[in-house]
Amino acid sequence: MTATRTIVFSPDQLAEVRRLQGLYPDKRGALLPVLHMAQDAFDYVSLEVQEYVAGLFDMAPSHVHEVVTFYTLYFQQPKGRHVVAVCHNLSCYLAGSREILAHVKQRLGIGVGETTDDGRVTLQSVECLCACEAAPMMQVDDRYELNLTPEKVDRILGELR
Amino acid sequence: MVKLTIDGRAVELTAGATVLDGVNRLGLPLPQLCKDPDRAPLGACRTCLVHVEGMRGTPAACHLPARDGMVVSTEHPEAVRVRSTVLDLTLAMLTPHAERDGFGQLGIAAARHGRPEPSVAPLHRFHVDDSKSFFLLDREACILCGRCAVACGDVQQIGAISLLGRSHATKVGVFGDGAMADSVCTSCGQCVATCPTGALRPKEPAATISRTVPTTCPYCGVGCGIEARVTEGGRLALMADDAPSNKSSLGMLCVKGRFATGFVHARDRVTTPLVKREARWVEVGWDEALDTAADGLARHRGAFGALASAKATNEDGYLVQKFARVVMSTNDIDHCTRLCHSPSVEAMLASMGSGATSNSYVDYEEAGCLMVVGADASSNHPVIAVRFRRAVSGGARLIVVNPKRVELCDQADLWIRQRPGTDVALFNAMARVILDEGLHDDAFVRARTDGFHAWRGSLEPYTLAYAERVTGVPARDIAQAARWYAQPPFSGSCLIWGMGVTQHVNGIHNAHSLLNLSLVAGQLGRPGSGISPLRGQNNVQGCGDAGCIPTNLPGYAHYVPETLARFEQAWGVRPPGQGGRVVTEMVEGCLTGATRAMYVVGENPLLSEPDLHHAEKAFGQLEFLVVQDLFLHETADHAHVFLPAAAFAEKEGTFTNSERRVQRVRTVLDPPGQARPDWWITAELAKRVARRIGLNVGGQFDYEGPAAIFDEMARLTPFLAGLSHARLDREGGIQWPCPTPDHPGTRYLYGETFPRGRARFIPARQIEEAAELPDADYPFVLNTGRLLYHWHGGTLTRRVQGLLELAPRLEIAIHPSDARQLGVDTGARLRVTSRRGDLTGYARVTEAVRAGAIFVPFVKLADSAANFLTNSAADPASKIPEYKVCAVRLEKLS
Repeated sequence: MTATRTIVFSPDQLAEVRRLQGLYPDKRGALLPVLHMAQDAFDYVSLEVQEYVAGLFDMAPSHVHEVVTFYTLYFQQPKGRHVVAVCHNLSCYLAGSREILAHVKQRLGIGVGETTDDGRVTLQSVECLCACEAAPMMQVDDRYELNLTPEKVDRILGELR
Repeated sequence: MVKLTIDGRAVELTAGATVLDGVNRLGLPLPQLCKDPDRAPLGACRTCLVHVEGMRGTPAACHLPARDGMVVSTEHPEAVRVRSTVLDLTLAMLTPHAERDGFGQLGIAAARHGRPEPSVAPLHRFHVDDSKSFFLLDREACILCGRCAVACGDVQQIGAISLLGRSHATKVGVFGDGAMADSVCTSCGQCVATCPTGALRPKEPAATISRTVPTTCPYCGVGCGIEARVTEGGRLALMADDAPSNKSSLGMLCVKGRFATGFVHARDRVTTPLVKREARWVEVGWDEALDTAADGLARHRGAFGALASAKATNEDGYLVQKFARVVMSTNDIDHCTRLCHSPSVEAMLASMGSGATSNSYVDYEEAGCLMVVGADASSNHPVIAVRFRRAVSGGARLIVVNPKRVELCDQADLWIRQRPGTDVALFNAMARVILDEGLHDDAFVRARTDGFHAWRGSLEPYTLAYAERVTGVPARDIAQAARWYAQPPFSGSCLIWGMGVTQHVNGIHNAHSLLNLSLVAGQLGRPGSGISPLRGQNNVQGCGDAGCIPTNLPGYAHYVPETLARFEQAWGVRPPGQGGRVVTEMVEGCLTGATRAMYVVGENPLLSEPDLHHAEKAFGQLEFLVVQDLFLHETADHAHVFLPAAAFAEKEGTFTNSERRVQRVRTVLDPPGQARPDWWITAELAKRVARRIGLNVGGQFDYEGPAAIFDEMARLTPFLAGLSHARLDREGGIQWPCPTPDHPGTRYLYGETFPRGRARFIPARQIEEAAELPDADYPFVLNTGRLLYHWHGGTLTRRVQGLLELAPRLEIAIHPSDARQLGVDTGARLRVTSRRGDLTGYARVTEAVRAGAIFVPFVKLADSAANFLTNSAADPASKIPEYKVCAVRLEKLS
């Protein structure tokens, strides 16, 4: 992660952008995957990255910003090596997600939207992830962790390096 | 047609209409918070819920297609119950202490549903953004309907605001979630106009609006319709409404049209006639002022010149030229067109026989390629710039040709940054590409033009290699522009240009090289194509049409015996039979004695002429000067009599915009004090001068009002003959030519023929780049132009506080490399000096200008004005001064 990195896609990445844009009747349909590409390439989607992507789509930067702020999987700040996203929607809430989130906060010593000082974990509180049958739940990176209890949370967090 | 029943009443709608259209047709009071009457439905607010027999649930009427036989109820208990809950939850989005008065539609709907207060507490509170000068964003009154985002993004194509975040944290915001003032917002106020709750609202104390009056914006040549709002106190409200039915502006306005009409209430409006005695202004009555003016002008008949105003109405202008020609017996009548588009008009007259924009604004949106040359439309014609942006969204190619990085470059497919003064080389080379690659319209050239072969021969030297060397533009870009322009991806191509083409010593060559391009490519005379000199002032087209030019009588009639006889019959006096002097010659004449008296109406030449010290000296030599205006401006300081005129909102008449559309101007307010409409003043003056010189003008200057003046002008002007105030009131603005009362007006010219028969190719040569080039003493090139937030010299806009907040000081755009050498950052004070004068301003370091060039707008702020520096060297053919290039040096001030 370097603060001074130039925000430009490589020729290969630009070819991929064009391929994705070509898949849709309106090229803006490819905005989400291209933002993911940008996040992978530049670690997070800073305002500078959002402006760059807006340029690739001939869109107003504010409209890209609207999309980025709508979805929890786009990070506007540098994120930790791992992302823990606790669901706060109805089913999980009724099943105790408030306590789970409080526990995660306390164990990590950070609030929602923050990253631990060692850069290990970023914490999020998110809308429904479609696993109500196993509430309360959270997503850790690309994995679902289901039927959470404080003890289970301790074990999961302990395994993150 | 579909027939349905709503609340027991039958209604018939066209296919494709929605149930909400039917509800509104019947005038039923159904809430519809997110529905802008002029835009597609958003379906966001869910307050227009209805019950439909045989249909489950309570659908939103705005998104429900009307079908034959539908039975709809807005009052069904279930629909009312659900709607009432929606309104309750909507109200809960507002904080309890927020002013309910301003909530407009929501407040009314909630009260009607028995929900004066929400039953649940609001979730969130957001801060108020009051960073903009004219309006604020009070998120506590926002219901997230999204109308503002549509207005900003889809209507104006700016995209400053959008809905950020999700769920209960959603809010209206700008890129990066900062202050609106730091965003790309242009203060056009489209969002404010559409907001249903007053979350976006003007910054002025709430006032009751007693009436609104449809009229026409007084600023630029786009000619947008505005609905002037008058408060109970008899003043214009800070914000005017847009006019969706206006065919030129389609409900759009820019910051000036929407928020900057308050100059009419400026404290220093002159409201009493003034006569200068012993170098001091003395207030007098109209009789004394007019008699004094008439005495002076009668004394100097024979050495007199008149300047009419492109800001005043057609009727006002027509009378000024009639006064000059009939009473003063001179064709020395001119207006500011000399300083903006005279090369365009002269070139078009020579080549085609008419000097007007050939197409309509709608053609920009239908074109497949737009080439915009030397024009900063985003600043100077903001609503036309919107239509360019819409065209780009629709897939049109946009080519911007400009040495300066103007805002349109952000949307351009190709930006051609030629060295200033090398336009002819550029356009001639493009023409060669078109011919060499066989992209020209052979049939059009054969059938509709003359002079092709001679012109083609003249292109011989203009190879791509030559053009690249002279213009500094890569050959492949020149060729690409030529290909796109000659053969756009669809439809036709529009060629649009501004002062960057004309305000040069080689202005007329530039204009001819452009016109030739349009002819060889056959890109005019059909929809989606055309040639457009973007007109500056609100009525510069009409002022020329009305005859306020020394070269032609009204309607561009020539000084030939049969026309002179026609005018003699109408006016009772034969107008002089030879062309008169243009404004720059009249001003020079002050120094030689050829001009001893002038009548200056609604112009401020001592801010708009080049080389102001020289112009001041000239005006100082005048023996008698009558100024008729709103304010005691720089030129009025030299006057002997000042006649206070009514502003645009205080009189009747018409303006003609850049697409030849004649539109009504209406009396919104009474003139303040003793101020009178220009036409009345000019007519009174004419009668008094006539008496003094013993000229019997009969009833020639007795008019019932502007409608009668218009009728006389229309009788003498074939292309206006079908128009009258009554017809314009009935039908809205109409585009000339409109020769008969049943003629619908004309969208584009030259479909069949040109006024001169066949259009003519007139070879254009690349001559010297400018009259004054940088040297060791004056190493920088000064380029001048305008700003979005000020109008021309600023006589009007300096009197609008909100605009001064947006653009408070004179900024000097300078390239980073030059800034480094001078050791200045943005904000540093700089002195700019030319051989003729100097000014001080503040550096704005930007790559928008080329290294070695600076840009200074010609608005006068804090006594600094660019025209003290500019060069009066002029294009020999059209006499336009070279405002765009002069040599200057820069100094850093502490």
